Amino acid sequence: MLNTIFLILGVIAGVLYLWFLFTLIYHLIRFSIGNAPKIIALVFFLGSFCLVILVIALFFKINWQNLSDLIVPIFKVF
Amino acid sequence: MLNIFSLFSPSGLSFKGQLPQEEVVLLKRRHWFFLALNIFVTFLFTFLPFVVYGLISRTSWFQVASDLFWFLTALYYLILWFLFFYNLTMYLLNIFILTKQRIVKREQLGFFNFKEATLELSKIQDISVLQKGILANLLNYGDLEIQTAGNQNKFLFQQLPNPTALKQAILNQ
Repeated sequence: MLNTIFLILGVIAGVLYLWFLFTLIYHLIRFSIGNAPKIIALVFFLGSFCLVILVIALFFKINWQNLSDLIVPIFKVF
Repeated sequence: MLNIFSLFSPSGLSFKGQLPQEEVVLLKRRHWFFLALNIFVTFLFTFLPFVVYGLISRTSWFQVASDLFWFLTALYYLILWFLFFYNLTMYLLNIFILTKQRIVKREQLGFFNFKEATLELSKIQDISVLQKGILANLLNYGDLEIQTAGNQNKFLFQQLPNPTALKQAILNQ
């Protein structure tokens, strides 16, 4: 259950992040002057790519069953 | 064949809306101090997960939630990475261009939100330099206020590096 909720949230956040990623790179390439902003756009893209892969890998490493065992008793108090 | 890497080859100082035969004399952005300030603040925020780790790593439940912690840390750095480049983009897109015919001020207020003002050099009546505060004098940055003839009365360009030299460069055109 917890896994599914986080997965849905993750997909929504991922789509939003992709949109922001595209927008930022678009602005740097389309509206900037000179060569440096284009190289900055490339650095941003490569860094984002690595971080997104890391986030996805860490997401699938989470043991949701253990987390549920930890969180559910807290909610039962309320 | 279309070479995608041609995007990174030197393109000179051409800009969107440039008139034919219009030659760029100089291009300025805000003083580097304001970019450095952004870099410094981002640098400070990179330590936040380490602080949180120091606080919670000895708790009993951390062993169970450590995977979640590392996931949230990576997510935090992803957001921080984006915010840093967002501020850098805003810095790079806020520009002051002096050409042989006019001055172009392009102000990026956010994504798909910008303000552009142009000013013909022939309409300039007076240029004032404003340097307020110790920091502005020490780092040599300030504002340029340009008085024009016609209905566009004043043009203000803020936090420019070496405003006196810039004023001179405008007057020399």
